[in-house]
Amino acid sequence: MNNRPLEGVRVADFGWILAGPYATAWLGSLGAEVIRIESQSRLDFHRQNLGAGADGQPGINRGAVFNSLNFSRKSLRLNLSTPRGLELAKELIRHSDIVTENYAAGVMEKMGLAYETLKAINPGIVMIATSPLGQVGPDHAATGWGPNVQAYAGLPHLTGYEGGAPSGLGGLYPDFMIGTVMAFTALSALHARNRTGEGQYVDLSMAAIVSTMIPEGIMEFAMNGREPPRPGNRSPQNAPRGVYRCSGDDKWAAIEVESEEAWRGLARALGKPEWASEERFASAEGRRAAHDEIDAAITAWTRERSHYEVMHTLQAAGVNAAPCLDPHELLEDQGMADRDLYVEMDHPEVGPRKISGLPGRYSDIEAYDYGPAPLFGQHSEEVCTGLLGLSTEEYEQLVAEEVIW
Amino acid sequence: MASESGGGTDGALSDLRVVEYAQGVTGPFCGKAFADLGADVLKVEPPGGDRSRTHGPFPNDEPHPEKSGRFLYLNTNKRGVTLDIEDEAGRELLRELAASADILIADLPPTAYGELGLDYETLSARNAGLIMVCTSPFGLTGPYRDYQGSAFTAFHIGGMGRETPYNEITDSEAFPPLVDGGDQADYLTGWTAATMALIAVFHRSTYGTGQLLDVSAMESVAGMTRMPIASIGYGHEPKISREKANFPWVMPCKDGHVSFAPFLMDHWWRAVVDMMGSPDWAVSEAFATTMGRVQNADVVEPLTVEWLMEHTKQEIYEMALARNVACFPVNTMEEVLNSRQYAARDFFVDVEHPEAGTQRQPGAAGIYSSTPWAVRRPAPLLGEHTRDVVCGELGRTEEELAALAASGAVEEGSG
Repeated sequence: MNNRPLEGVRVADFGWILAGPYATAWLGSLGAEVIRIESQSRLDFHRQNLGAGADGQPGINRGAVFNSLNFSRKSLRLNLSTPRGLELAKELIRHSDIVTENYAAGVMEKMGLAYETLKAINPGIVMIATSPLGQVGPDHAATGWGPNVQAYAGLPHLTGYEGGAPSGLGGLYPDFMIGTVMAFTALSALHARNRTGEGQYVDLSMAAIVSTMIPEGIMEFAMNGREPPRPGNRSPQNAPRGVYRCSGDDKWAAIEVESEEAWRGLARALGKPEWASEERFASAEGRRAAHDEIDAAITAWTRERSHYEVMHTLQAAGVNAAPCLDPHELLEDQGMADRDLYVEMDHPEVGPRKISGLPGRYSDIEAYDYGPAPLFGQHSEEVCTGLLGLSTEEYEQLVAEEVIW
Repeated sequence: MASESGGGTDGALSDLRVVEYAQGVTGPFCGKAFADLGADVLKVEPPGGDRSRTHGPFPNDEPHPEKSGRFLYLNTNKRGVTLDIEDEAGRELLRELAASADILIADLPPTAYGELGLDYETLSARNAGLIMVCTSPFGLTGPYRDYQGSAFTAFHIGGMGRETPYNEITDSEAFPPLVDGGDQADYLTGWTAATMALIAVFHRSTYGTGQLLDVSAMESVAGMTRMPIASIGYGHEPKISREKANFPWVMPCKDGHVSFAPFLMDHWWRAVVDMMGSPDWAVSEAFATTMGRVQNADVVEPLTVEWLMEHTKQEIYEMALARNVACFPVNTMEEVLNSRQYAARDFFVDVEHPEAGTQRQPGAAGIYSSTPWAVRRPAPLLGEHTRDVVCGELGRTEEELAALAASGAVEEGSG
């Protein structure tokens, strides 16, 4: 199968927690050999799986979050606080094409793995460093997770119920999105290296990534000195727009009218054909002024219907509408059925489990080349006695000395 | 200064040529990822232009097709051509452009490609290496293929609405699933598309062939809600954040809000206790572990908020920064623009545009050490490069261009 376009590329993966592991999930699932460095001395938060081990049993190899992010790679245990462990990490980097990391800024340097050091070992190395606010600048030492960092970037200021407090986005946003950007960035730098022979260092700021995704709000202030409103589910452009209660327990549908034609379609579907020609509803502005009145009519109609029925009926009438799906519904949804996002991965300890793979369909890649998340240190011996050239005796000695730890 | 072709010479992707027939956010943001790294990106617009040209913000709130903040931002570093693909002569020009492209980004309704003779089979017959990226709300196949979608509905059907807000709500009837305020569904789908396109570039180097990429906004959003899916697979009922009793990540303070997660890790909590001046209640053994703090959230949270309310977000941020605690201010747009950290990284760029004047916009999120991110040209005026491209690159004579313009197949910029 043509699904290993990154065959021959080796990645030394110092990523942890969320964004870093997701970035290398992309690379490993496309044929790169990803070797993740792990250690008891700096155990991944999600290896500790606080109460979230498979089937309620805790265990270092049983975490749902860890195993659903760290697929398609090998696990090498190396205690980087020992000189020998550090030496082996450098040896791994000497044989690698890409280094990824998402520790707080400065941690790699403190460990003795600054880019300048790595470049001396391997001039072609591509190093992608991702931290909350970037490696340089007065606040570079800031620590945090994606859900915190989005606040600095400005996104929660724009998000929230009308008149209410700001809110972050769910789903641990933006960590997985940032992992995707890390993968793109690594590939762009590798592409440049393939052309010029030159490696490089890329200093990615998580907050800046999110700020590049809210230009409208930022430019609103830059142009007009005004903070944009927090409109909840409503919109400054289109009306009506909202999330409406449907039949069933806590079921909802999202509806957005984006054109005059769609408004006429909605009016007819609601059984209010007279609204289609009413002057006060002839523009989005007019409809916004009567948003509460229109919402009441929509809700009276949606309450009698399932959220899927709302989608199918309104879409047939030319209106943009969709159900607000929960995870159970996503797993069963017909629109997701041929997308191959949900895959069963056979993990060496917990067996086959359904998780989310990677999005997107390709005409010439039938499926991503997924491999399961590794057991803690599953490939230590293989990597040490293979790539790193140790004898079995040396390897066992390093295990005893807590270098392979 | 910009080179003849429009691409840069020292960007990471400066050897790639991209043609973009896409409007709004998703496709153009995908194109921007390439353009900002030096690719020659040719933006093809229909007569009247990309619909983003009507989307604010506008300077002084005066709508103008050359002054949309969204458009100016998304299309910096691209050249612009206006073609009417309702016209066969216009479609043929687009096919010719695709014949010389590495990547074509398109966002037509899924059935339109075949109807217009712009499907991958037709286009790849002239360019076997073509990588064609098609973005759509629900993908090129499947039962919702012909349905309308937007950032708003994609966010909700992809499951993110049910996890937003991430603060607990007490009355689920009064607080429905919530969308974000920044059209993130479109922006993150753009990143998915750009990553897939670059993967296909590597694929072409390895296997020698181009291919068709099918990018669904619903699926891209669903890819973000991976934690609850994993929970189900691992035998746990997922906790939906808007329904669960847990610590909020956004908490009020004296002059706004901070995003604060002191409860998550023990060493963060110890540092926060120190920040608060080690009050008697906080040093309690009962709160020393994550589990202890979770179980006593109704005590820990209000007492922490009481302290937060006595301090400004900047004070709290500085104290947290000094102690390595995860805590950020919930920045307003003004504060984002005034960030000392962003300033030190030269994050914002002032782009000079012939009609809109100089406008400040977000720049590089990543600092590349040897192939710099760069602004080489402002967003194109409508039809600005039609003549250069049709006559210069596609070899039409002035007379042929005049005929194409007269029939409406192309439009030239008035500038």
